[in-house]
Amino acid sequence: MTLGRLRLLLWLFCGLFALVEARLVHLQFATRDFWTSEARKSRTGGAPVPFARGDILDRYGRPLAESETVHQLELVYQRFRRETPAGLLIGAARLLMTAEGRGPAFPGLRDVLDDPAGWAEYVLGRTERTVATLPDRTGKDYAFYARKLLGLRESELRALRDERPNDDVTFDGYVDGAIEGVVRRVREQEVAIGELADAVLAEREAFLDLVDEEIRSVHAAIAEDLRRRGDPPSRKQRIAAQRDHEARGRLLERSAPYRAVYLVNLVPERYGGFVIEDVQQRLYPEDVRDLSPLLVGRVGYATESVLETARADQLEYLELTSLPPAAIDVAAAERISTLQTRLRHDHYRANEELGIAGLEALLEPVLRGRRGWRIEERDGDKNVQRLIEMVDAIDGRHVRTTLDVDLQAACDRVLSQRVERGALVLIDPRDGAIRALATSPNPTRLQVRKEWEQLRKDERQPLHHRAFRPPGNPPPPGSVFKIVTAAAALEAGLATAGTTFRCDGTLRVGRTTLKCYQRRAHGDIDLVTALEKSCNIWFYKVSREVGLEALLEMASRFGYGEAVGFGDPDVLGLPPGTRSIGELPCPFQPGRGVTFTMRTAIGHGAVDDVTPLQVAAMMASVANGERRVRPYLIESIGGVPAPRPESPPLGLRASTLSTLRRGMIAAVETGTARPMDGDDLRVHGVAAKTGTPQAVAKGGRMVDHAWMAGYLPHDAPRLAFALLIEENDVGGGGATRPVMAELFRQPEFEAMFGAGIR
Amino acid sequence: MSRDRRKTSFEEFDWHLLATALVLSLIGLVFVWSTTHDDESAGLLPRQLLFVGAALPLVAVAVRFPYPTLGRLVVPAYAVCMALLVYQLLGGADEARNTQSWIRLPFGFKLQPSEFAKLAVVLMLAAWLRHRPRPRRLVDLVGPFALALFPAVLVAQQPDLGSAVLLLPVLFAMLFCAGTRLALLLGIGGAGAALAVLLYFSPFLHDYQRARILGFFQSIPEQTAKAKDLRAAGEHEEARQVEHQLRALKQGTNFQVYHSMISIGSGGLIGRGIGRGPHNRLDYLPERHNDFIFAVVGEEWGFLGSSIVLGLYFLLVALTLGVARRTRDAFGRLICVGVATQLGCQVFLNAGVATGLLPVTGVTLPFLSSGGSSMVASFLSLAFVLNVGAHRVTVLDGETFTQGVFGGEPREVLAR
Repeated sequence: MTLGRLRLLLWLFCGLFALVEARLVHLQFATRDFWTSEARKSRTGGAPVPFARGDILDRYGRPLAESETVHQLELVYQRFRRETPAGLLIGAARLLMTAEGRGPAFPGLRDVLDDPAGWAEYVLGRTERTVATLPDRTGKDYAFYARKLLGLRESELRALRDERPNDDVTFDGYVDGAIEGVVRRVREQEVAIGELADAVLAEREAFLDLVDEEIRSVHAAIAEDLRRRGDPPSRKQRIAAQRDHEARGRLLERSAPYRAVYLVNLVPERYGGFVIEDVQQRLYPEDVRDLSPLLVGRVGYATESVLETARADQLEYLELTSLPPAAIDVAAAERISTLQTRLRHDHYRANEELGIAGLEALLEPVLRGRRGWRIEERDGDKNVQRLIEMVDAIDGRHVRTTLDVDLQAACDRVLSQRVERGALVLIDPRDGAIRALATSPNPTRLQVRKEWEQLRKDERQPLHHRAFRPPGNPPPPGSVFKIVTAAAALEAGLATAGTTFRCDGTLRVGRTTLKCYQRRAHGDIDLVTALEKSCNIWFYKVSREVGLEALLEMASRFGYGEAVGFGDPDVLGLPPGTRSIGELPCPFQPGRGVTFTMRTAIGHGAVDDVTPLQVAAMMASVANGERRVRPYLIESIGGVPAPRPESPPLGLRASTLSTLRRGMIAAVETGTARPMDGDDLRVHGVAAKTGTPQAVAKGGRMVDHAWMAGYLPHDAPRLAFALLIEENDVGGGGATRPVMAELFRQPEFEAMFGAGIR
Repeated sequence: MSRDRRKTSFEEFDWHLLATALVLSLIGLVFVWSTTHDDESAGLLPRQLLFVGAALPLVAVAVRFPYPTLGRLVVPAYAVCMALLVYQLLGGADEARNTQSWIRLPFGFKLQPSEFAKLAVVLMLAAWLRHRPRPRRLVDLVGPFALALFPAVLVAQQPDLGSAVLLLPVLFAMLFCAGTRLALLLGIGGAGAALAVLLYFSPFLHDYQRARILGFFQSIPEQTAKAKDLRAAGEHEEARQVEHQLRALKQGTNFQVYHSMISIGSGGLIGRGIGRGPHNRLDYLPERHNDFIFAVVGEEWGFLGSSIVLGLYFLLVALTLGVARRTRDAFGRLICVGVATQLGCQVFLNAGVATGLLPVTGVTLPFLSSGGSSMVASFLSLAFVLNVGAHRVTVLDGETFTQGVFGGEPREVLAR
């Protein structure tokens, strides 16, 4: 009978082992592919490879915006809480206070540093009671802190707590001694953090405050998260919320000096919780940082709306990839691969910089590179072991602009000193390269970043770059437009340089009386003198013969009403001009009235808004003579010359050009821009035309603006310029002359042209 | 006479059994090296070699003395083991992996009394049942149950649930082979099963515990396929629920089992080769040199290797039961049955956990897992079986039984 039972036992084991064997067959044959793919999936992971954003350079390759690797100093609260004495005190206090139903105002770094003994007493002094009364898990968590603070192993802690007869030290006695030790270690940590503050060139106190603030904000974020998740939060939820907020690095210093990097990386245990993260970051070199920030633009982080598309793709990707293999047809497979490429390489990720204004935004597709992707094999602790596959990042392309940092700096300087509101443009008349685009007021980068709301509300509208994006109601060109009127008259053969009209100061047309500037009577004057003195009556009279059609035709020959752009969207284009000529609103239909044509002839009427850039381009055309100059700003992209705007022949007769030029030279020598108060533009060989347009400003009052536009040197023009000073009662020449003279006296110009040009 | 006996002993000595165990320890050495070595060191291999080396002389000594003689030490040995277990519970143990199953020894060695307690229980039960054969009444079972359950409870408190649970089949198998009335055993077994079912539906169990038990019966590949099918059918909400459950099957307490199944499953027919299993090499399996060494065998030696290992264990159990069959002495036979059951069930429990058949319980794989206590205790158990095989005892009357165990020289007669 016993033998039978033995046999039965053997059969039983036979069955048990067969069961395991069957399971092996199931795992290693039936579902082998599944496990193999799970194995691969669990061991491999992908990570982005960052690219460097392209630089923005001036014409000589001097950087206006660069990309550089910076070492960010971050606080990882989780490690701070687990590894440092002050962190342990904060963590334990938070745990106890939560268990007691206190909070959510948990202590920060400051509290602990102010009274380490008190907090150590609070945390450790009640260990015995606390551990006994705390719920199981919380007790376990608490034991972690107590153990770390006391520097004990778990068994030793338990032995102490239970006050084993063998131990000659009681628990209370031990804790009393330990509190001193904790206080000393907290003080040491305070010194270490102080050293770190020195290393990042921060005030020690301010740095401590910053760390304190970050810790508090982590607490607040966790509390907020838990409040949203429901009440009372389960332990699991609390852990999840903590993990989410605590593991993330909190930025303390965007660009830590090398000393801080050295400290943190060399003795990490001394600076527990502080980590250095290397990131690519946009850098605006200090010397050019505030050169027209509105033009160069700036970068920001991807907003929710930008990330939205990435999220949608991510969702679709996850849903497609969780389909069974049989359900994935060719189209779906293609879709999956497209989505994967987009998610890995193309979509913006949170914390990725992107251009949000100016050239940074305009050139975003060029400046932004393509993210790379690395697929790595990782071990059980998530450490990278091996690179399986990598798609390299493609850095963004460098963009070389036509700007000249020196000239731009000079323009900015003079404008900010002399002009409250206005703009200054410099163009090379030989090819249309824009050398400087200055605006006033010119907020600094810091202001743009920190005081955006104030700037937006500011009446002076400092967020508009007036050279190409005038705010609200742009000023009309006024008398500088007379160049166009004169050209139209000369080309049509309706006038020559010597054609004379009489100026009495006023001109009566029907019921309207048109005036010359300040009703001054010029007497009988010819065209050159009319340009020199900027006589309105001469142009009124000739415009009656020329007619609006021919005026507008000549205007468009000079590029009015045409986008000046170099990109899409055309930030430097001019919606105002387009409206003025292309789509005139009904009251201003051509032929509506003769005074409308007359007012157009002196730069009001149909052409009543224009940008300084357009005016400079017009002057550049006059200086060039052969071709219509179309301004451009992008010299080359990634070393490849950018396509230039086509510049059609101007088609003006040489006599027409020489008449216009004579008039402008005369204006500088003896006319509206003649030397005065020691400001002499003649020495620089300037040819210019001034303008004093009137416009309706806010509140309905009439204001004068001041223009000067021209080129230099007039025998071989190398620069064309346009200066606008808004709301100025001195008048065109009077207001602009000293500014231009000041500009040409700047060392940058002397370097370019030599002192006293010619 | 004595010369003659010794000669016969060696003829009867079960070399197959020892060889099987030695082959298994050799395989164990290989995998301990594979799981713990790195570029600079051979990991735990030297230690493990030391343990095997220490166990073998112990076997030689233990085989040398006839087991009835050794049988006199059963009660003191049992008492010492129980004392150690009690001492541990009172806090004398070292904290390792949150269980108090170790006692520190000099030179950095650690003793795991529960490993030896298993053998002590087997010997004690054998000694008890030897002269109380064929229990027919419930009262007759009180003694054996007390002897087995007392250490089981102590071990479970450590908590080392695996070792505690193992004592139950040992008890039942020994009672079964001691000739206990079947109805009695079936009755107790049935009552236990009924109690378990009741407990499952009782309010004592939390919902999450029930979910865990249920989750245990879900197959990860099947659930994955189900989630995908639900996705294909457009039932995204349901699919998300299944995927959520799936995540729970791969994390937390299930992490080890999940990665163990990955290791074994990806091993395929012949495996990745010694020391080449990526999951082993990349440190995905905690305790893989120890409780989860079978997963590494599965990954690196594949189906063939794990089947051979399982086969060797079955051989071990079968040979041990064979010794039991050849022994007429109830004491020797019960020792064999107890050791066979204990080894066999421990292998089944360990491999069952590693393959995801059974819930996680930390028991070692005898002869394979790294660790001195397990190795020495396993070889010691084996030595008793070899001893039983080598020394034939027939008993003239019941008195000798009593004397043999509780003092007095037993009379040994060679049985042919």
